[in-house]
Amino acid sequence: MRSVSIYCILAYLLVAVSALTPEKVWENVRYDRTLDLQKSYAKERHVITAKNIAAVPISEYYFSIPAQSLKDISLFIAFSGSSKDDSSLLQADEIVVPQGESDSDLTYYKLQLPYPIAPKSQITLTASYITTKQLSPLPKKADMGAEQTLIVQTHKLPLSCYDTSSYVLRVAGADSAQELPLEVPQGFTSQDLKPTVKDSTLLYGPYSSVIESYTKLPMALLYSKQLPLPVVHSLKRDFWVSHWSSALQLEEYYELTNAAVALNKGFSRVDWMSGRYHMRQNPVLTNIPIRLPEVETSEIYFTDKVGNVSTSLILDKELILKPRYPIFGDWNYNFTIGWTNKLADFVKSSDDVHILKVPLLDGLTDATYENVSLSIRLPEGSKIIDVQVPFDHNGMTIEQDFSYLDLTTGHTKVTLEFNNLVDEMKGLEVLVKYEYGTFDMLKKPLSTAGYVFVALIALYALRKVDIAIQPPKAVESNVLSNKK
Amino acid sequence: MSIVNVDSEGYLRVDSTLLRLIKLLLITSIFISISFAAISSRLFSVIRFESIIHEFDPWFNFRATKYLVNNSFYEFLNWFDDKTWYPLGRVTGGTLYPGLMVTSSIIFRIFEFIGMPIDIRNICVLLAPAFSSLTSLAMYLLTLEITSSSKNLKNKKTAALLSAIFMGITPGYISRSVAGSYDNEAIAITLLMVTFYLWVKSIHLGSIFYACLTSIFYFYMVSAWGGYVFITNIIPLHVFILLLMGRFDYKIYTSYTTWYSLGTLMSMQIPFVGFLPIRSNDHMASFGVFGLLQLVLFANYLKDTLNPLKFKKIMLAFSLLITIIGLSSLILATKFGLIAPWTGRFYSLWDTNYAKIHIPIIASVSEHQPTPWSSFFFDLNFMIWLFPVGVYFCFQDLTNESVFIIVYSVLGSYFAGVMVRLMLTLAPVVCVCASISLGRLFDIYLDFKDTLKIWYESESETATKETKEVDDDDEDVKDSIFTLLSKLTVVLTFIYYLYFYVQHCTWVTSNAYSSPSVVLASKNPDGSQLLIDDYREAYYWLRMNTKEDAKIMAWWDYGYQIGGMADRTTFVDNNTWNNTHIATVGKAMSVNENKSEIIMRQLGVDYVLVIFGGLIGYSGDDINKFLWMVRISEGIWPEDVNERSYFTDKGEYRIDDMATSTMKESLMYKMSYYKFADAYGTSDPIDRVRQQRMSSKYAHSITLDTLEEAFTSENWIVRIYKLKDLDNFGRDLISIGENERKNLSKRNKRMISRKKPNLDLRV
Repeated sequence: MRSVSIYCILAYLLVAVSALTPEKVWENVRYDRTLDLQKSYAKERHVITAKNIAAVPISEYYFSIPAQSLKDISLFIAFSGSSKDDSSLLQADEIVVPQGESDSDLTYYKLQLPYPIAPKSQITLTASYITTKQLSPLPKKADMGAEQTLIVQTHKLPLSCYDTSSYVLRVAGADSAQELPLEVPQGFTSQDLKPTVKDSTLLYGPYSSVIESYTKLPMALLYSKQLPLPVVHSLKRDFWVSHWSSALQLEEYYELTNAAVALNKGFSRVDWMSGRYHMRQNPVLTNIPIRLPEVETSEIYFTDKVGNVSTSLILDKELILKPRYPIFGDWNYNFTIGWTNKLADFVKSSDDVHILKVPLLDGLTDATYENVSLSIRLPEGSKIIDVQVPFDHNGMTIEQDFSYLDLTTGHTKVTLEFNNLVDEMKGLEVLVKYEYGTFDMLKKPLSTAGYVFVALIALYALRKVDIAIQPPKAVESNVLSNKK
Repeated sequence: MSIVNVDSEGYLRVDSTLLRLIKLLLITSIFISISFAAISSRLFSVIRFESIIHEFDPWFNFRATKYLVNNSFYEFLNWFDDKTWYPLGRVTGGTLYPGLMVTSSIIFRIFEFIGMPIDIRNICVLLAPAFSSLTSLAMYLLTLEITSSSKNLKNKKTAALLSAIFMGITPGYISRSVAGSYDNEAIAITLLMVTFYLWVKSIHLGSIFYACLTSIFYFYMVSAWGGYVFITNIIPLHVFILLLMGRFDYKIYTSYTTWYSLGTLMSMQIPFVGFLPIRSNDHMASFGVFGLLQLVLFANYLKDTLNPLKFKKIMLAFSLLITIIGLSSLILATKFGLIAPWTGRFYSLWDTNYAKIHIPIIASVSEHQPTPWSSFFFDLNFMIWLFPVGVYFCFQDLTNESVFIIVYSVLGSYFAGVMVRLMLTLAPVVCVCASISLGRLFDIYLDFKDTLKIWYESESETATKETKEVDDDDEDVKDSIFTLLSKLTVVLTFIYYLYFYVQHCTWVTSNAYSSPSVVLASKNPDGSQLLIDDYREAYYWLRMNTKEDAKIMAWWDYGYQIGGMADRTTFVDNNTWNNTHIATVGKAMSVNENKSEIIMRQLGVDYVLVIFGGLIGYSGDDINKFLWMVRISEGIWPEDVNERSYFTDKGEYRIDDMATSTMKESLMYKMSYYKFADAYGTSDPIDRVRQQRMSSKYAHSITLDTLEEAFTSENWIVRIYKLKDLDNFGRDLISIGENERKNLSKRNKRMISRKKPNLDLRV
């Protein structure tokens, strides 16, 4: 922990020393931006065709985002090209601009281009990222059954540090959106830049007039969305690996909140019953579908802190949880689910070395995860060789932990901490390579048996001890009478 | 030498070691099956529902156990719980019997130590079944000890084993020890039986060792259950009766004095008991007998040394003096408050109407009601008529040990008749007596030796000499056939009874005693099981969606559950130590909104929780308990609350349009039926518990102004209301509500009147 923070400070210092306002060496010839609001978080995708207007070849492109949303960025991916197929991932380094700099409300990702771009040549880049906590209901409280409107705040024009000559903004998932009148900076009128609706997306532009660098035109979109906004404050995912029963058990503990519109009065059951709200979409979480692994899954359970919840349903490969009460906006629900899989479906072994591949997330279909702690409990005596995570984690600890019949050294537990995840990372996998041999496997039953044996022998020995105060005469006479 | 031989007379001779082995094996397997039966019949609730803590008190015990597991023992003893009895709090560590919690936390630690970290909840749930198997073992030992010097009973082990199985599955005991009923009785009955066994054993042997063990288990019992007073009185009574019978000997003296001095000293270590053993009247009997024994010893000494005439005189003078001194000191000590006065619970043991008149809070608990006759058969089945027979056999023996059983059975039957829940203390002695009588019966009727002998002889005779005295032998054989038939009839009848007993016990356990009462079972129209989980739904809602320091007002029945499941602060709970506080809550529920608001604001109430069964017909709801709230608060504030005013002029308890105005205005009534009419639309709402129909118009007029509905569970069983914040402009919440309604009705009228011209225009 300490070393991590020291590294952080070092990195910060390094960055602070090299802090810079990027030079205007590029011009965004084409800037296509898509803001996707279909899920409970905001996804953005920027396709930029940039032209080198400097005199020398350049191999870096600075991509800017508002500084305050940096901490909410869940996943930032940049690649060259406009689609994933014909592209290569770019290295994106976060650059923190220190306070007090001129443009301190911007922060940059330095994208390392695959090759230096010659002057006057162009390159197409794609940056896509997910920002959580951007959507919030407005008004915050409403009657039961009232339509929910969400507000999202963003910038209407590119926040680039380069001039942009052609620009399009598409907003998906909010075709009935309404722009809130905001105070606009000088040089713009609120009548500027009206959108059109096309194929259920909101289209701004295309604008072909040159947009200068660092142009900020804030915008607030108000749109109607009748779905809950599930936020998992904390998720504890425990995988228990057992080679003896060849099973992989998963237990997940969720602390869930619905960030959607809250009730402005108390919850009235009669209104809920008569409103038939389960028949239509509404921002209340009444059931939580959980995708089960594609392989055979058994022993599925759903409990919370007061015991078993009997109202869950298993449909094919989907577990549908019905919480004890409908989860309205601002309501919380903590629960635990778990299931068992066959180990062979998740582990590949060669001799004593095994590779375990587990998904980073199962669970909700549309949700934001603030803190995820994923731990994998390997059997007692196993040694970890390598842990592979698809992207940066916030800390990994390997420790010995004592649990069922861990009588010697305790089992090995790997814990990975993540921040700010979304359900779209479900496909990502964590790989753990570890060594666990036949000898280690036999050690546990043998040691357990040994303890039982020692206990029995001790009992036997104790029974042999004579604690009687009387002289052992009586026993002899007994024996005699038996012989008769 | 082979194991089985045929000796010269043609008898089969089996090696004694083999026989002993077979016997050991048999007894072990019988014990294993008894344990299995005892445990498995208690698991109905876990299988039907889940591993969950039942009812009310167990939730407190469970919460306290969790506290003990998470904190040290000394922290537990010093535990001041500020989450109950708000704003008073409760010195929990000093007002509970820690035996149960300590037992389960030790088991928890042992399992943790041997590498089995079992959830503490599962340990708590399964504690009672586990201890019930120990109880049957203790029963076996007790019965064996009691019959040990009996001359009439031959097969003592049969009787003892019978008593073990009887105890293992008798509903009278199961009712308090199913899996999940994590209550003091769960371990107390085991301890009671062990203590009695050790006591009988120590009096039998006159052994200090066993007397010490008795006092150790007595101490354990004191730490576990308030019912230890039963032991504190039954042992002195036993000794006293033995003294009256002229059975005084040094065995009794040794056992009693050892037990009394050690046991009393040890029991005083429990913080909740403290100095009670020397101050409370409940303990005076044991002290008196202790003194009496010394006097008897002294008198015995005098008897040996003095001549009879002198001795007689001295005895007379002494006994007079001591009686006078003893009585007057008792009266004086009581008067000056040195001795605590008799408790209300004690009085209600002698006068069943006492509680009803003087302490409604005790009478309001259903388990404190007098026992109906039917429940004796329900809980004890055929043992109830074998019981007096067994007592009769004890009278026949009249050994010191059987006198104990006689004393126990007399006391036990009396107490079981007074309070339903004391059936629990009667059950063991009934099992002992029933097993003694069955043992005697089987001694005689399962003995086919004579018949076999006659048959064998007649066969061999007919085989050898066919000529002589055939008629006489025929008579013998005929007789023996009749004997056999009658024996078989009796035996078969009793085997049927035994079979019926097992069936009855299983049926009763599965149907009557295996409901957690937190989760209710119901049937879907298609016959499948439907769980009604409203309690947990609402408690969990409270836990998740209210502030952590929210104070929840509910009737005291739900205090422990709210503490255990919702983890929120309560005002009153099932530890009914402060009657006034309970009456305050009762008053807040029974008076009108105006007065109630004042009480609730003074108490600092955030939420109010009521149980309402009217929608689905759940009869254990608050409207049915309402009269107790009224009665208890009337006891403190007779000028504000009057029970009569909740009944109609005809003396009916009504909740419909005919209800009295006091009833209609009371907060409890309003909270229960608020928006009840809306669930029925325009038709008349029917209360399914009380089977009363309200008119729709009236039901729609039930309003609440000071409270706001915060949550209602799926089947409306639990309704939670939030006390509204004070108005910003300092207006009265009730008048605001009234104004709003007036405006609303005006607007409604306007809307109606506006509608008409619209229609006209269209035409």
